[in-house]
Amino acid sequence: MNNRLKGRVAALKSFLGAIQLLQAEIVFRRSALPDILPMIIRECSGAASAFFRQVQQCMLRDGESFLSAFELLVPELRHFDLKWSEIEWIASVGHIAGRYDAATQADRLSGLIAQLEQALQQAQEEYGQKGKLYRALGVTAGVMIALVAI
Amino acid sequence: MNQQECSKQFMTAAGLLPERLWRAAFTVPPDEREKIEEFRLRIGRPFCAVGAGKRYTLADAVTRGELDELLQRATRSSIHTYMEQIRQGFITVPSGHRLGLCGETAEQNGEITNLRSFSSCNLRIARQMIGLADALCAQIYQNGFESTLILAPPGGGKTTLLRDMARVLSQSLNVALADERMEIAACRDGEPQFDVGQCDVMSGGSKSEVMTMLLRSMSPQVIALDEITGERDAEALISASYTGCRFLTTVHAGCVQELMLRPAYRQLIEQGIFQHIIEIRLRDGRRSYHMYTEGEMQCDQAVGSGAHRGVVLGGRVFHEQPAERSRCGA
Repeated sequence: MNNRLKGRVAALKSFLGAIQLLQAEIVFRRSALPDILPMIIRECSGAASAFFRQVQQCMLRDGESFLSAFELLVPELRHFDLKWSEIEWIASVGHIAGRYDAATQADRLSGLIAQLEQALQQAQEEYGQKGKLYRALGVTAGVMIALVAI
Repeated sequence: MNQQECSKQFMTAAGLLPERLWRAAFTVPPDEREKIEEFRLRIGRPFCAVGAGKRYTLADAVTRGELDELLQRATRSSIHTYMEQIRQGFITVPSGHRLGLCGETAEQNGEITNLRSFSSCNLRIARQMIGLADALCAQIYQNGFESTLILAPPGGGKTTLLRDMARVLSQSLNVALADERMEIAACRDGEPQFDVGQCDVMSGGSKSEVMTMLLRSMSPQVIALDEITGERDAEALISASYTGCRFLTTVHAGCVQELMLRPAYRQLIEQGIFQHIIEIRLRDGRRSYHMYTEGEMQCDQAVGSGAHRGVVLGGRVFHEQPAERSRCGA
């Protein structure tokens, strides 16, 4: 359970960084999505890097559009200890990125970023509070098992 | 362009189409593919190809999903990257083909700011004729390049000739391309899709501003640009001519005499900007190139007499090159 809390925090941080990078590249350089994906894969660690690598491969290998590839791979987000609402927010990136002019994308991604920042803060607080408890429970359980074994 | 190259261009254009339409495109007989000039997609209407005055109906009604898929491929899933082109109603795709777009316009302060809800598009197959200008340039510019105007009716081959002349001239001169409508070099993601030799290419932007930028930064000896339409562009060209820079440009016109009906070109002719005019004439599907060179009116020679024909434009005499020096081309 402690690992899931920790994993959720890491995944949210990773996806938050990736979406911020995506927004910056779209707004300031008008970069095309196939050019942004390698940057995200390279500069973001963990969950986002792995996920966007799969999106890139789907686009290159199968000729899928960004939206199609994203939609196909949304189920993979379940592996990252995210809440269902957080998965839905991240999934919405597929319906925003590359589909409108830069200003509209910037607006919509800003809203999404704000949601993820709030979710990250909650996740960090939860990890801070419950994480200690789970670690303490884990230590206690370990001691009990050792005593029983003796 | 030989048959192999024509076939390759047909294939690269068709390669952008959604699968059903891609398969339909290849139902065009192989020996007719080189004549295909464009694919037409209209929502709810049959998919067809057009070329050499003939229309080929290739598949049933195009769907909205297929049009969206084509647009996704043309923009690499990134509409924001090609927004400026979309606003002008086209997207340049790899290999220089052009996707023309029709839909609903959004306006602000009288200017179109966006194009949306696409209803149809036209995938025009690009074909370059490398070598077209080799002999022409050798004939006309024996004493060095002088400003030249290319004229022809729509679809006459002006841009094709302009492109190859720029390519040839760039082998020995600094040539800059002011490619406002992205048809000459057809840059995509910064890379010219046509062979324009050693030209420096500025894509988009208004001609007047681009010419100023090029003169400041690229030291061009020649600026090549597509049709000047307004007086502002004509005045910018006249100002630029004071730097010693020479020009290669085009104009839609049925014949040389029509030039004086266009205010912008009348001004340029009267100012003596152009020393050569190349008129492209179409007859029976073949093009011929007729060169006029500015010269002096001789006392004993009337324009239009004898072996030398010519025209008087804006008080200037342009002698037509002797008939045997005109070329016929594809």
